[in-house]
Amino acid sequence: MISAVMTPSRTNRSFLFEWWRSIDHISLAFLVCLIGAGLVLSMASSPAASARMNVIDPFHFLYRHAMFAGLGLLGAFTVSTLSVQNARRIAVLALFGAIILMLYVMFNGHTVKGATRWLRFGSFSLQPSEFVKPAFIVFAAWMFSAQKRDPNVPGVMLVFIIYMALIAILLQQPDFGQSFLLTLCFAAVFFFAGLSLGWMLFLMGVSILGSMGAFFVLPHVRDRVMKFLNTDGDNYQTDKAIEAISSGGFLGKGPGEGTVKFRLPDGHTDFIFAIVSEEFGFLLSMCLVALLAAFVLRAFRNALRLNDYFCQLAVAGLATMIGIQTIINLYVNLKMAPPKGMTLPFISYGGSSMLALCLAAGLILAFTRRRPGAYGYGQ
Amino acid sequence: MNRSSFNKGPTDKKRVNKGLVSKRPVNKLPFKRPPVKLPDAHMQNPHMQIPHMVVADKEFEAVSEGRIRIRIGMFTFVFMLVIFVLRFAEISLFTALETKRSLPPQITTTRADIFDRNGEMLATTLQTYSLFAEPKRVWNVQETADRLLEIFPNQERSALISKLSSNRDFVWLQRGLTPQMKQVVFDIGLPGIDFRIEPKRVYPLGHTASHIIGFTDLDLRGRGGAERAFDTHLSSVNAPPKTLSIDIRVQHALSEALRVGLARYKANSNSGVVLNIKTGEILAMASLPNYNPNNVAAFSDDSRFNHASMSTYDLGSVFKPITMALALETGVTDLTEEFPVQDPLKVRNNLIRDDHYSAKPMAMPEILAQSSNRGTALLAIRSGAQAQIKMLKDLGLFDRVPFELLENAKPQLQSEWQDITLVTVSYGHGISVTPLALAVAMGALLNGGEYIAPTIAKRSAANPAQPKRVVSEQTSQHIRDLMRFVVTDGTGKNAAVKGYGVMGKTGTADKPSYGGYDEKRLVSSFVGAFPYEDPTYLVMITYDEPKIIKGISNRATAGWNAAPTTRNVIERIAPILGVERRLDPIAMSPFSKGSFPNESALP
Repeated sequence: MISAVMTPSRTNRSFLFEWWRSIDHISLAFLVCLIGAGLVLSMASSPAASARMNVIDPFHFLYRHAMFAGLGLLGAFTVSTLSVQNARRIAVLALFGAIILMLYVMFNGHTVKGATRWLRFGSFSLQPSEFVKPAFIVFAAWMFSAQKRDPNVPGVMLVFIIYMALIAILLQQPDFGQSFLLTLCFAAVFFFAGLSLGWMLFLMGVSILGSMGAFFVLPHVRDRVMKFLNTDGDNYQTDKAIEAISSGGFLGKGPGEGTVKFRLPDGHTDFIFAIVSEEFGFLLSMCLVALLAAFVLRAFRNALRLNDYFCQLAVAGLATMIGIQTIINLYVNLKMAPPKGMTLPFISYGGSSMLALCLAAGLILAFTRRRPGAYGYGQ
Repeated sequence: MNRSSFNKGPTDKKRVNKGLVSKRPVNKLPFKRPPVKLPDAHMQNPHMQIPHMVVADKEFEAVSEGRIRIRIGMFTFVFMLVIFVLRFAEISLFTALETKRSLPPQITTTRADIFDRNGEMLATTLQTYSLFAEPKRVWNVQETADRLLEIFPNQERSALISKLSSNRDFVWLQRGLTPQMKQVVFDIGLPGIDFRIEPKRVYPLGHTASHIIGFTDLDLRGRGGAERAFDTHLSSVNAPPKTLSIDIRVQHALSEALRVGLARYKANSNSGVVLNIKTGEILAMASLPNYNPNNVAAFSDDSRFNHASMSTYDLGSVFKPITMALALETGVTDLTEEFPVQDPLKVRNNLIRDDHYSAKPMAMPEILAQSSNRGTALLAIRSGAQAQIKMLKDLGLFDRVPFELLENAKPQLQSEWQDITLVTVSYGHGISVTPLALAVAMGALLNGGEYIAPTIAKRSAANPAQPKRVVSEQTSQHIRDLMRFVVTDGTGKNAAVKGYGVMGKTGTADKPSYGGYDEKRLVSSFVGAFPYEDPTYLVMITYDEPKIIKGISNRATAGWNAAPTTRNVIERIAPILGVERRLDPIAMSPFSKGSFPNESALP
């Protein structure tokens, strides 16, 4: 409809052509490469994970990963075809849907390793809290931009209420890692939105107090931090990860030649980077990191150029989320941060995480689509 | 409507509503970047730098400020990433690989047992305990070492102390402890030493059936014999035990006879197969030298070689019954036609020689009993190459024996089937097959004429015999009569066992050598079957380079080594297999002079 008004010659162009014309090809290419790389690397991690968990089919996790990757790509594509308004609506719907599911999980959830975070559907389990992060970022960006435009909108207040509610639910699960990441993302969007010094101090105070509170109240958080700080202690996972990385060297041991992976719990999820380093070495692992960084930086670059305040905030916020998640995961693999159960975006095995990140990527693609007046402001 | 959708996005919509449309021109090509990139400073205050843009809107300021803040965010991200890359490079490239070993994972592999056809255990899995120390947790190295030395006096004290005080996370002290030993160590209650349960594969029979049962590696993966052939079944979770076709009593008798024979005839190696020719079940298969699967590493590679199914030989005259069957089946002759074996026979400038010269023509029974190469060659020439090839193929001699073991050699065949090939193959030269392959082929000629693929798994509904007719029942009956005649009146007299009506055929072949055959190095074999009235069991014995025994014969031919060994085997296994020794006269072959001789003359 828009293009019809602008240039009549485009009226007969198809929907797909219109999408292809307006999408940011570079971001899309990065996304597809990342998901493809995740699939290839799953071939390395899947047999080890199957062996550890006594799954008979060595490629059990590869098949599931491929299914989620396919679903995720399809989802990202679908979301990226939406207009800005519709994409925002989807995100806000996702936010409230996820909150409702989290409340449901609170009472009827599936407990794994002492945490109630999952909804079970047959052999699949869904973690609604994964979807909360991108949805909340978009919601916050919307509220901030709305308030900027019309000071009568109580945007900041609404965002804070939702944020508090989310944190309360997450801590109750308990999921300190996700609360931490959510807080960071929230702070980033807030910061991009022109947060004042007072607010900044307030948020920092809240997170420091919150972290200390978590440390004393949640035993598994205290356990992990103490393990991390205490170098003599039992750091089995991270020690194995370091062993894997150092044994890989510059060119790696070769695909399928990894041995540490059979002794590395969560090798296919949180510690996939260690497995990749062992088998493919420094060089190719750096290519993977570069690809992730490129996707994030491309999103940031697009955010810089967008004219629309909401889109700018949302894209920067989503990019920050993926960036923070990448950084934390990589730091955990190198024993530079306490293990927190954070996946490597688009690469790690994990259905909810993959789908949520694809939602985020789809939203980024939707918000950065070329359209009249979207870019070039001030330049 | 058109107007509002023209500039899509909330910003423009609102401006339209408020009547504050900026004078900023609508960018017709928003996707192309302008060729000149403005420095950052311009973005902060575009009013001054770009005069044609008059922007008086709060949102624009917000966007501009947002850009600065996003740049800060980007910078932070890149900074964190750089720190990561530095640390990653340090660990990945500049850290020497730590050699410390952590505790081995607990092995929880299970493996199903293997039984013989009567339920005797051939292989099982036992739990053993392996003792290890975690030096960091050992309180008192000296005391721990002394206490352990009381239990393991064989250990070196200094070595033990250095192990217990080493820098490693764990060290093995003693592997494969019995439960009693484990309890003794457990009772001393020292800190820092502990056990790992390790499954161990145990073969109660030791050497006896080593090549059939095979062995596993330390991780309990099948590495030979049935262990490898049925690895998928045996290693699957909660698998039922595997029952093999072999009968351990027969296996033991065969191994024992081979052991005695190998020492007596000083051969390089020998092998034997006992086959139930009605079901195709291999009741016993042995090859010497062999090994003890409980301790594979202590034996040479040669000993792990199963000659019965892995070695291919030019087996010689044991092939002759096949040529007889061929001639009878094609109908080119009958049992009474006499062939001029006294005349020299030349094929492509090669003289066909006979070991036992005959001055008069012979018919088929005599040709076989005297093992005449010329006579057999004449039969083959009469039958033709095409029929011969088809017969050999039908008997499975052109391919690997289709059974479970992976130790299974392919036959060696001539690439071209010339007339000389037709002739030499008729008496078992110029074709190299395994003893097992020949045993199976002979079984097909003797069991009524049906080829049955052999098996080492006990026949059951899931593993049925699938007979395939090769020759007629009548031909099969003739072959029985002919082979009975060999034992009663021919070269196979030494294989006769009183009361069992043994049939058989000797085969002595010169071993191939450079460009020809070496008459000093022989492969001698005997294929025997019993009982004559209802042939059910077949014994195939092969010697590789047997030596002459002074005072018995002046040649190491099969009649003097493989045939007596076959007799020894049949004497022992026939009662085990429930074949009754007959006291009444056994029918002689119809070709014998007296059809029912008196009992004292019975072989």
